[in-house]
Amino acid sequence: MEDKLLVLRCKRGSRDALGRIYEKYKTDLLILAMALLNEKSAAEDLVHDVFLSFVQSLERFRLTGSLKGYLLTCAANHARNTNKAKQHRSIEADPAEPVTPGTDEPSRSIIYNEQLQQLSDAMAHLSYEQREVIMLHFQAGMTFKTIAKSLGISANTAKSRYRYGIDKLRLILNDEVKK
Amino acid sequence: MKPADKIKELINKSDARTTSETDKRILGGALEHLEKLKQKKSAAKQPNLWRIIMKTGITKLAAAAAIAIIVLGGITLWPDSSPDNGKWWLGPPAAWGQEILAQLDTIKGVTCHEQTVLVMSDGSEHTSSTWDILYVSSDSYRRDIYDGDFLREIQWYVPDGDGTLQHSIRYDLKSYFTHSGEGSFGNYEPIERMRFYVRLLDEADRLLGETVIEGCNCVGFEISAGKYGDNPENWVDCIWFDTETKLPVRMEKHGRPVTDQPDKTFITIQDQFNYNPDLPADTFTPETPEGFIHAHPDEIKAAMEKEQKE
Repeated sequence: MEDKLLVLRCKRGSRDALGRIYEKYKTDLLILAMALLNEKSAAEDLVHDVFLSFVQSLERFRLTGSLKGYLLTCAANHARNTNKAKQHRSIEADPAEPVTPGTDEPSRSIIYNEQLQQLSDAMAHLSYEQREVIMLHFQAGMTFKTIAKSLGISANTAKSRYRYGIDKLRLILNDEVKK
Repeated sequence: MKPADKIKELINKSDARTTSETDKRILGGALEHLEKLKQKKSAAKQPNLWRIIMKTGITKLAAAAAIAIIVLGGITLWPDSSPDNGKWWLGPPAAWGQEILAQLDTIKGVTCHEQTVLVMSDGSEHTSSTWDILYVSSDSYRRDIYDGDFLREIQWYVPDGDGTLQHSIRYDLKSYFTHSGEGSFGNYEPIERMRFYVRLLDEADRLLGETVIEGCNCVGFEISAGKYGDNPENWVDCIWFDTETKLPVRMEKHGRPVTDQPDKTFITIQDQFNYNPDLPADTFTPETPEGFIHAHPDEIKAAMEKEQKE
């Protein structure tokens, strides 16, 4: 209910309500963004874009489920576009060069804890599609059916992306333990 | 530990801290856009709700069809006694009305938004800057009254022995007022009003057709308030149902006169219904902020006026 009221107040132009929504969900969004993009500056830009889109769609926006779920799905959609654009840019620049994590500007001042860095590093070994399904399932608490619907894929595809991703993570995390 | 559990643990323990500078940078674009939205809204004249409804082609068509059926056939408002097209509202209301009443019986609580629109003598309309959020449970009621963005007042009606305790706080006057009495909040109870309308649907004057409200496909009915009590015929009530869930999504009362201003009327709209909401435990617990004085708002206003004169 609190979220509904906050959305309602946002629709009426309340800066306070928007600020409260941001404070409530920024960490979740930054975690998702880091896990999907593995780049601090891109994560910050992503959260910026999510809130901008949210406000731009406010007039026709209707909260039917959880606001957290909505914002995280929105972040995943933006991250997919960012990832596509990044892949496109790196292919155009030099097809022989592998895609490497971006370097962060020193002015960016988000402090990520060790666990988030570890999560982001582990996720970087997976394909983007696998990361997306795993994060939406664990962090947004979405079912495979819902994830499949929002990504426009079958539920079986969502499940197999999850399974392959988890298998890969088993190897990565075991390696880390051995080290 | 399984890799799935390890990932879950990493997510749960992950944290990201931002500085206020970063927050400003991230939220800057959104706040700027919000400001533009606010300006756009205040610049635009509040459109007539009725016109919005009647603007849609499908609604006009439905209204025309309903009129044609009544004029040409001289028959009931309900043209199809056994609709196979999914349009349940075209069937006899006695059947689907019971279904809605049964659904309403399962509702333990509801919240909704309420706002009034003042209709001037020339037909122009002005939406009130105050609006309310109502919280209703089986035995308690709360009304949060906003003036624009500012929460001006909260009123609680909660059980107190055999009667009702009424407690209100005014943030604008920094005051509170409490009294116990035999009163109830029955008149404000939206679910009871819904039941009342559903039972009256057999006598509805107009089928308003289908339109989209709050993203849901809805069907509306118009009932003259003359059908109940001693009300004049030109007082009109409308109720809109979600065609999927069959639950009401909007109720309107039109044509009521403004006290001491007989040339003006007002429309009361209740919408944004949230059925069986998950409310915080203290929603219906009256509270008084520290430092608020105990006085009736009228007393405070009178004292302020007197002070100004002196």
